[in-house]
Amino acid sequence: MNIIFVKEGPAYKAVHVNNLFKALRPYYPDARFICYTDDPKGVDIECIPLLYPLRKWWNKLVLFSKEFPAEGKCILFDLDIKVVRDPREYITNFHPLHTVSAYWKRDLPKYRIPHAFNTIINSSVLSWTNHKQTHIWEHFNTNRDYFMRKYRGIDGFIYNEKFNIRHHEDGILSRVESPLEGAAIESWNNVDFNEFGITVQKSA
Amino acid sequence: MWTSMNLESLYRKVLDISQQHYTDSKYDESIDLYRIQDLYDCVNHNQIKSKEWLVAEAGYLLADDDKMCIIGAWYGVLSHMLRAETKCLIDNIDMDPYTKVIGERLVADLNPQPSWYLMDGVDRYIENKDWYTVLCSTSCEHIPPNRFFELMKARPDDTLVIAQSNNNESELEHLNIHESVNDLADQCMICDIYYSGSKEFQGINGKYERHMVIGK
Repeated sequence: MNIIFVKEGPAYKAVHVNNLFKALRPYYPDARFICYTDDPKGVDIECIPLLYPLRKWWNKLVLFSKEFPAEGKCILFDLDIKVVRDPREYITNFHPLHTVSAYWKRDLPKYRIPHAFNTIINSSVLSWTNHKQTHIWEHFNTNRDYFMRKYRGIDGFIYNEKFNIRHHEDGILSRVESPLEGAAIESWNNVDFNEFGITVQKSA
Repeated sequence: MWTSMNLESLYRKVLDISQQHYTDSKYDESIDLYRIQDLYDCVNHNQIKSKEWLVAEAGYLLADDDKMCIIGAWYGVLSHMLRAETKCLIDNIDMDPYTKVIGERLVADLNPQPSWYLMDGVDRYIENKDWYTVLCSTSCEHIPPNRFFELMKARPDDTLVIAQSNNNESELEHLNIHESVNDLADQCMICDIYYSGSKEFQGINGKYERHMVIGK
């Protein structure tokens, strides 16, 4: 099992990675913890340097490339989350790609208007089997700049490009703006994330 | 000479292509309506301003027997605008397959017509570096630094370079921004500068500077 964090740019700090490592290690004691980053300074876990020159969240797609050096089951956790309790009961499938179902959007018609290219999935917690999702990375690379103009982030790209994906059960994640009681993980997606005296502004 | 009449003609073509694209979408649900937004973006105020600047400063340097490679040509608006200045051969290079579909309609009535190559622009230039006499990109900020270095290192000394970049970090597809025109000139490895300058532009997230350098 690989537990992966992506840290590119100055917004998130080593302390965010290290804290998540400490929070998750009790649940995944045998996992290989990896930080895919441009700045390994202060990070307490194994770091893999950037393989491609992308910025911010677009780097998450590199994890699906055939060059990404991991074997077997993988879980990505975003850095703007807090682990509230054991998330393992929700992360049980690793093929195909599993994402969070965005419960705060999925029942609202405005997020399903086709030509808005919005999304009702969320990539704060992903699970997949490494090297089984290379088609996602390869598709992105066929027209990288266009996709980055068309979609605000990888959630929109994955959802609208119609890859075969599934979702974790509800309860994996609660979004602080519209909380889901009892969820295993709290996400600050699109909200200012204030942890360890460091405020990371929304969309950083 | 590039005039307001030429600009109106360009906008009319964009409107006609957009209308046809929407009409086609009524009978084919696979048609991507974001293309209309993207096509409008390629002729937005900043795009036209930056290309008019290029035409004004570089147009007179282009001879009719020049062979020009435009890397990251998008829908070929620059090739359209340059055609009013020169009859030189123009190759538009872009990885996006649909740029050719739209671009060829945009330049359909120009003589001679610019061409399209759908591939990595750096690869195309390096494979044909001794044939092209002009290397042009108005989107150097999109080319990763290592690839930009390969591109400029491969360029023969007598090839004219026309390069634009900017210091706008807010667009995530900008992988190689340049803080100043001197940074851009250095990365382009230009020894003999014919023109260099910077202009302020208004972006979605505030002001930024666009730089242009022309030389060999």
